[in-house]
Amino acid sequence: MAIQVQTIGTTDLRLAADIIKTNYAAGRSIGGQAGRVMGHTRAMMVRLPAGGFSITGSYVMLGRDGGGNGNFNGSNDTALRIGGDSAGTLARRPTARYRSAGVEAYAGTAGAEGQFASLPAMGAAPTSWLLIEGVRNIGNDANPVWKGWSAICPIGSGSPSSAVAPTNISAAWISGTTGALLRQIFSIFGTTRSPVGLAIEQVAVMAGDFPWDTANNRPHHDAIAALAGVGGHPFLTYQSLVAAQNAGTLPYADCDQGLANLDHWWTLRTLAEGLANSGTAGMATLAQNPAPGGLADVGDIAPAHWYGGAPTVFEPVVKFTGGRGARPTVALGSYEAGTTAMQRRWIDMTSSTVVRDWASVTSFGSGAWMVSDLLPSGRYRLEVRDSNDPAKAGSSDDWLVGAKAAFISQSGIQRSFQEGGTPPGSNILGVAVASGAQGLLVALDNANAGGSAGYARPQLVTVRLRPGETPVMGQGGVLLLNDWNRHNPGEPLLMANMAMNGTAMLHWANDDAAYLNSVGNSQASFRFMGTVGMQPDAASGNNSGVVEMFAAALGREIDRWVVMWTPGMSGDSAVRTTFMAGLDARFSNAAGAPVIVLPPWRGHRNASSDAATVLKRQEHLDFVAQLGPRGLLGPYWADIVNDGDDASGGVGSLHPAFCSSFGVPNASLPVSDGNQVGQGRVGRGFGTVVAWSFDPTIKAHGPRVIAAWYRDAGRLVIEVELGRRVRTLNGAAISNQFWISTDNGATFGQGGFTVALSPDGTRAVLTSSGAAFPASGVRVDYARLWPFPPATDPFESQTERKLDGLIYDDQAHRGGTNFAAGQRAGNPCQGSNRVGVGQAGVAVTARGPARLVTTERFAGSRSVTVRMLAADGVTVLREATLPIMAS
Amino acid sequence: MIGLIGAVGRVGRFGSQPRAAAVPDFTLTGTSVVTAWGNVVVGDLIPNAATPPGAYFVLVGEPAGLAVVNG
Repeated sequence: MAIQVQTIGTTDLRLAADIIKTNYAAGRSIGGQAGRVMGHTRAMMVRLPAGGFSITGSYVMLGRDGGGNGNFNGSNDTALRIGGDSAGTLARRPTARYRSAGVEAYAGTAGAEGQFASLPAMGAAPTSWLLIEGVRNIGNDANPVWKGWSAICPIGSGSPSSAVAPTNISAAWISGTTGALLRQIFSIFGTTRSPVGLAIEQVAVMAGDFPWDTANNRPHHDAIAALAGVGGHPFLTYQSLVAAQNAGTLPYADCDQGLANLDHWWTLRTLAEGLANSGTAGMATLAQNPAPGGLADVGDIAPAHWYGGAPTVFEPVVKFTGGRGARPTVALGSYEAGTTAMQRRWIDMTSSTVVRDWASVTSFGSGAWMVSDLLPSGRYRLEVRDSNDPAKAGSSDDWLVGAKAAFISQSGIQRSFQEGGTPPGSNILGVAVASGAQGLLVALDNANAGGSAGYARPQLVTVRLRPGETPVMGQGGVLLLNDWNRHNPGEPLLMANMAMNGTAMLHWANDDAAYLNSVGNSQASFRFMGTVGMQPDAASGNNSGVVEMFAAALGREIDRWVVMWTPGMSGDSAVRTTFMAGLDARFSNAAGAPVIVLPPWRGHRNASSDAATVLKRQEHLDFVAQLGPRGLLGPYWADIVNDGDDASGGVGSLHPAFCSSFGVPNASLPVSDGNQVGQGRVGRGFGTVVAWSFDPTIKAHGPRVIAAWYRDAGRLVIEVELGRRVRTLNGAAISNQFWISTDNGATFGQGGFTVALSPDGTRAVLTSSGAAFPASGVRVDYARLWPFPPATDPFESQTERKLDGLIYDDQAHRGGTNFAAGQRAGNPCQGSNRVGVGQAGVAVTARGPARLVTTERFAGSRSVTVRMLAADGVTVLREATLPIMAS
Repeated sequence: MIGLIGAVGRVGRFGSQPRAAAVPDFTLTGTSVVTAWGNVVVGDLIPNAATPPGAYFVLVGEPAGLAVVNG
């Protein structure tokens, strides 16, 4: 918009007081610097009447008319005019006049005006012009040289023209302090009346010096072009021009940038809103004089880049890109009318370094923009700006790039993050995020959508984990992140707690209503999987679902699935297939993401428990096999049993949800680690498992039964290879957790033999208490029957001591037991038991040659250092580093 | 630990073998392996004739996913 004369001689725009010039010969503070000897610049955008000027006078655009008669010749008057069509050489060219106590600035020139006759006539086509005029010191502070100048440029097309008055500005006017720079816009008296159809916009009075072309000794045309929206340099407004001048960043050749201050700026976009001063000199609001009536709002004059504000960055709920640097980070936003091009850059917020410098935003149009950039793992700030007006800029912090892991199953996982209560849970132990660790937890606050109580809208909950902070969330997730961070310092990890207690894989595969025991549910509008593209609203789940909500929020990408689905793992391969297809359909940008399956171990106090059976474990193993290359067999976890045992009806310590009063350490069942049982202990190991899934050289598995052989032909002693040095804790005697089958795995028993460890601790030695073991059909395995409070012990702290006699390695603890920090010295032996009933354990064979074996699936080359020791266990006979190639 | 390695116990049985080396040493019979979620043999660790009885093997650093079986 702009303001146009509708009725001649009726209304001008007027300030309550003159803008008075200062003594330009004296040093002033301009552009943040003091002692600067500088002039001023006046600028505006004008649209001439389409039919040109019909009278011979010169029409005042800006001025101060002390006499109020349209003559602009009072002792302190000023005027900036454009000649009429018949005004001789001045036809449609600007002229400027200044007086201070009667002293003319352009003394000795015709009409005492700066007559810029060399400028081209301002034609009616195009009809809109940028008009600038000023007085500049082209010398220096000590030896100023004052020039009057003017420049014009068609708006949005063409190129600038400028003229510099041949005679220097009068020194007497320079030092004067009574002359005016502006009082009014438009003229309503005499022959200088502004004609009908004349429109003005974006009027400014700037203190200081306009950028100067030192090669051509004229105002710099690149700066003029930038204001007019033409030329090859970034477009500018008065504001951004002044900012660039003062920063010395104008990119023009042969440019004395000068300094400036935008004291006065009236946009004149409308009579309602454009009359207030937008500059820095304080209130100086124009008023319609003598009254409204002669002026009207009309169409824009200024080029498009003058309008609108800074581009904005859309802030999604989850600002996290997975793929550890292999997937692009996509950011979206909007821009205002007037922005014609944008740039972006990315800054590493940890190092404050620019990792992707300013570059054009190529996806741009209809008010929206998008960037898609590959960034290495880290934490970033995104900055965007208008290419033509860099002062219009926006930014968004804390964009994370790293690994995304989704944890899905039932309570064994869900409550590892939060125990009970409402997500994200409580950090009841006050666990802090480790130094350097960066994480994001994503959960649903009401994943069953209200359950049987009736529909309640589920919503995403996020918790940002930052180093040193103690986030309000279950400490299991904090410990998980800290564990991950040990292996991948500083690399962000997203943890999506997608699991729901009490649910079976079948429920998810069937896309049932997402609440427990869904039959008869009063709301069935929110599902386990959900329809792609649907989101719940206040009234209905709209057939969206848990997985779909996470998928939409996570960009339909994930790096790892983590599953320990006990006891609800399906034994039906078709169900498992449907389940995975459901995940992949919704996480469509990551179909085929690896799945870490954590099988249960025989950890229940009741050997017949569903969770403790070989069958349940076998279902997990089958799932891994069914997944093929994307299946990752995680370590056995003592935690991953569910003791919803019918006999006791209680919740035992091996369940992550253990704590009879959620969120409050249990007073009657105290444990040595302050009830980190549950969420804490599982979380402590998950991070290593996720890290191992990316890097198989990280140790996530504990010792296990690898092979067994008879010490000699007498078959009285079985040596069980565990592949790693093992021990018991706290000097406890070894508990017999070994099982022997003499019917090729059909049945196992623990009687008739004793157990000891070999001197070097790498083998268990099972010695018959009676006759020799059979020559065939003998298998051996390791399996724990955990003691469970409260059914078997009144206090879990007492139960802990019973755990001391189990077998652990001597390496960094990776979860699995609820020991206090000083007792978490090793990882529990997890046995072998991979092939289920009838083939459990490993066969006991005659002793054969020594062998190098692999125990997990991995690919690529490794160098293995093998040491041959003498029988004394000390003397190294030979050591060799051997290359192997795995596939 | 004496006699843990069967091969060591058989030193001297192989008359057709090259003359025993003066320094204990060993070889790995295989270097390529198709891994699985279970135990897969990479190769046998065969001591030479100079290796004294009772010698056995360990992996330095107990690397993840690998183990040595001494019999």
